[in-house]
This record gives sequence, structure tokens and C-alpha cells, in this order.
Amino acid sequence: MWSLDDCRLVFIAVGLVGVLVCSVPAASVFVRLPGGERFSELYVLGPGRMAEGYPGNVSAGVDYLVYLGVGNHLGGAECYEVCVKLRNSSEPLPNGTLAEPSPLPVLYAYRVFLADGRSWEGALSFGFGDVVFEGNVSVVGEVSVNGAVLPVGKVAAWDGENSGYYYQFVVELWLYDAASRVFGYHNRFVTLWLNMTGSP
Amino acid sequence: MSMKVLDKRLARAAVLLLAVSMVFALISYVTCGVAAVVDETEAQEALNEADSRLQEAFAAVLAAEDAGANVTVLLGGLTEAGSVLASAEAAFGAGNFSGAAGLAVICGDLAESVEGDAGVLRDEALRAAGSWRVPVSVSLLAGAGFVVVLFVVWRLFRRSYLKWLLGLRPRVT
Repeated sequence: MWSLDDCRLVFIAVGLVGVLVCSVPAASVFVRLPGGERFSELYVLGPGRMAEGYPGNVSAGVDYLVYLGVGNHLGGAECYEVCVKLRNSSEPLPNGTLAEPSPLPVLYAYRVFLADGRSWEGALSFGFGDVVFEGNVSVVGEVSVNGAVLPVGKVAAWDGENSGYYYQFVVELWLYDAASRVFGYHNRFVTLWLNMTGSP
Repeated sequence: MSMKVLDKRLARAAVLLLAVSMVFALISYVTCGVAAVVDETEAQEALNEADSRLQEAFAAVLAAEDAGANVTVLLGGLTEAGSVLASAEAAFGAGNFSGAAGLAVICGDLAESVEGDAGVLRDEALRAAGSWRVPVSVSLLAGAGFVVVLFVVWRLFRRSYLKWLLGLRPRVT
């Protein structure tokens, strides 16, 4: 048999639980629960928006298409810059350890604004022009990116091991810092190898 | 009519035509300054201006988001403006300075439009933010009501418990 004091303790406990339950609406206004892991995505898809069918062997005068994608999981609205660069196999890639971008010039830069949890996909159509093969090197005079023809003058030596003149698109992700009003390299990049051939 | 008079009239007509075309050129320059931007430096300035407007618009969107507004649509508008800026920069890189400047102006206008919408959304969100009083009031009223009811129940329970306790008779075996 419970004594009166035992019953009083039970009533106090029920009262505390009830007050806690009643405070939930007010707490939801002021308390922000921490979100999950914060990160950004960067990916490249083939012409069918699938991870397949990427262009490999390319030649002058032909247009190619891939899709670039960015996902925002940083907990708020963000502004990204997706920078497309072209390199040959001897030019530097971004340094993942030091979080430094490739020093190569930007061919095309997408400006993407995303809410938290949202993603973006944009087309990257490209082609090559003024391609010359001389001895054991190939020279790409110009690259067209999304309709804009840009002079590059990029040279690639013959790669005997992989049998080809290899170029590589480097796609870097940059993140805008609203406080300092500048973009900083976000230490994410994807690449796409392309073997320049003489004919389509 | 002599040839001399005819020549004079033709000359007057040519001067008039020239004057009219100059007026039209001046009007088009004033109303659509882009047409005059063909210089690399001016195109670069237009790009910088568009970039700056885009940044200001993004700052306005962030402010709206901080105020509690849903900014997904605004961010879509900014991405659209950003794609125009990307095309402008690509045109600049390709040496098409007039095209770059024209696209930069379009980008700036889009950004300005988004900035305006962001301001409206922010104000609405700030007004709606006053609604914190509702959940807090609900909590306070519900909490106070619960405590009062529990206290009344306790008093009733205590009274009946004591009554029951006093009604017990000791049994002697």
C-alpha cells in the first residue's frame, strides 16, 4: 500500500512530465536541433544523365555532351562556382592535401545557387577545333564550351603506355564566402580524360 | 529647275538625313548603352558590375533566409542569372565584348529583380516571425492549466485518501 508521501511524489513526477510536454511548442521556436553531416557533392554524368557513356575518344569538329552536378548539404543556402579547366597529362591537378586548386586558367565557370538539400545539374557541351598532329604531339588550338569558342593552344605528347594524345577536363568546385565576398576552393574536383584522335 | 538648285536640295536632304540618323544613334546610345559597349575594358566593367549585383542579390537572399523565408525560388532565379553571367564571361573570353556586355546587363537586371523579391520575402518573414508568441502562449497556457488541474486532482485525491484512511478500523485477532 502506497503512503500519502509516495502518492505526492507520483503527482510531482506526472506534473513535471506534463510541464515538459506543454513546453514543446515554445521550445520548437527557440531550439534548433543540429543537422546531419555537412558536405557538398560534385559529380559528372554522361550524355544520358547516367554514370555511363562518357566521351573517351574525341576528335575535332564534333560536339560532345556531359552533365555536371552539384549538391548542397551545408545546412543553408550556398553559392557555388563550378570551374571547368583543360589540362594535358603533365600539367598540375588540384592539390587535395593542401586544398589548392589547379593553377590552370578557367575555361568556363557556372554560378550555382542552391538551398540546403537541393542539387543542380547543368550541361557541359564541348568540342575541339584547330587540332594539329605533328610528330609525337597534338595541338588543340581552340575549345568550344557551351557555344563559346575559346583559344587554348594546348599541347599533348603521345602517351605510349595508353596509346593516345590525352587531355583532361578538370572540374573544380568553389564556394562563396558571404562574409569576405570571395570564392574559395572547396577542395572537390572531378576529371574527364579525353583521347584526341585524328578522325571521328 | 536648274542643276544647282537640285544639288542644294539634295545636299540639304543629305544633311537632314545625317542629322536624323545621329539623333537616332544618340537615342539608342542613351536608352540602350549596351550597344555602345564594345571595348574590352567597358565589357570587363559590365561583367564586374553584374557580378557585384549578383553578390548583393545573394546577400539579400541570405538575409531573407535568416529571417525564416523559403528562398528556394529566389535561388533558382539567381542560378538563372548566374548562367547568364557564365555565358557573358565565356563570350568575353571568346573576344565577343559587345555580347558579353549585353549579357552582363541582363544578368544584372535578373539579379536586381531577385534582390527586390528577396526584400519583400524578408519583410513578410519578419512579420510572420512575430508568430512565436502563439506557440509560447500555447505552452504557457497549457502548462499553467495542466498544473492547476493536477493540483485540484491532488487535493481531491488527498481528501478521499485521508477519508478512506480514517475509515479503516483496526482488527484485533
